[in-house]
Amino acid sequence: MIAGFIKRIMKTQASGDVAKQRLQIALVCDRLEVSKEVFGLIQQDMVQLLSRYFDIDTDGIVFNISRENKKAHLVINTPILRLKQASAKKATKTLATAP
Amino acid sequence: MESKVFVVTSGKGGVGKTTATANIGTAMAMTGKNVLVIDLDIGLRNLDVVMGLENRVVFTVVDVIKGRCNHKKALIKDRRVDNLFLIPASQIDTKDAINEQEIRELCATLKKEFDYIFIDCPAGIEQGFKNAIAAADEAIVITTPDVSAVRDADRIIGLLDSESISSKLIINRINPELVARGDMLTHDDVTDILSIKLLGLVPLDDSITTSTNRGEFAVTDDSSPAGRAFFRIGQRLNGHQDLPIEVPQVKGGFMKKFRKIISGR
Repeated sequence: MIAGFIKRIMKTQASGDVAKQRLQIALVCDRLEVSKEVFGLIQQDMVQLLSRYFDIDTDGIVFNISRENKKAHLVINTPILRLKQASAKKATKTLATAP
Repeated sequence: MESKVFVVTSGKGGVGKTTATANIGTAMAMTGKNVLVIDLDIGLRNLDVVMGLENRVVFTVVDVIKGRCNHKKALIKDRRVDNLFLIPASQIDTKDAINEQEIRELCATLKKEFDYIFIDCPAGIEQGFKNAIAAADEAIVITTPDVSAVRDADRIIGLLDSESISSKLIINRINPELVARGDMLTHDDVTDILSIKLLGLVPLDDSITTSTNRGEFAVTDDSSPAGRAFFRIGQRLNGHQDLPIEVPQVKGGFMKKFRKIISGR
């Protein structure tokens, strides 16, 4: 009880939530028959891809797998801090040169 | 009415398949249906002892399948609850003693005599599992709110799905205090993850241990919260699909209320 109170003050994540997140990752690997390593690489690639266009808060990024109609859905939720200046300029340039 | 075969399965062992089979079967017999429960955990039979019928076992399901006796001889009639029958598993054979086709034929015969047949499935996904689901019209998947049980349930649901057997979920041994504290998967978490229809929520309940010790049914005991949950599950399967699913709640008491305040939930 006291431990729980301290935990709440310390804002550590409840173990129930940890269990849910771990299960979701484990099950997507089971269902898609990809290893945890491969799924890790997919996550890395997605972060890299998004980082080309946006400054993203990589600590706040959440990969979730939901299952609907017997299909697994990958949902990536990421806080976007701002559009990257370079990519913004490039986009404007492309627009300007367009016929 | 068309009779129906339910398989009670979980993947993982020790989550409460046998207890659920005994109690849901009893619940349905209590409402006047003709119910048969079959133990297909060949080699590790337990349904007889959980139901308090272990002293009356003479013939087993393997004897019936191998033609060593008529199925009527293997039926054990419960003397406490009308219309409730058990066919026990054999203790000396193995899962490979019988095959899927034999189970299909047996259930086709038994369906003529019973409204509902419940098959207690062994743990695992090998031959014993294949036998147990061979004749099933529907599956009842049992899990507890633990990572290992939920993961195994997901695998089982996938396997049932590939055999076109629809499954409904029971979450057993919910500890409402741990849930309130955030230290146990909630029933919403589990149904989110497994995304199948929920059939019932059963609280963790010491009276399951005591009733099993005595070979009695929790479902006939009004003071047992798990027994009441199993009874409602029986009613839902028995045509009252819309009977609300009660979520196990933290019991009252000063310290518990105090704990609730402290934990802020």
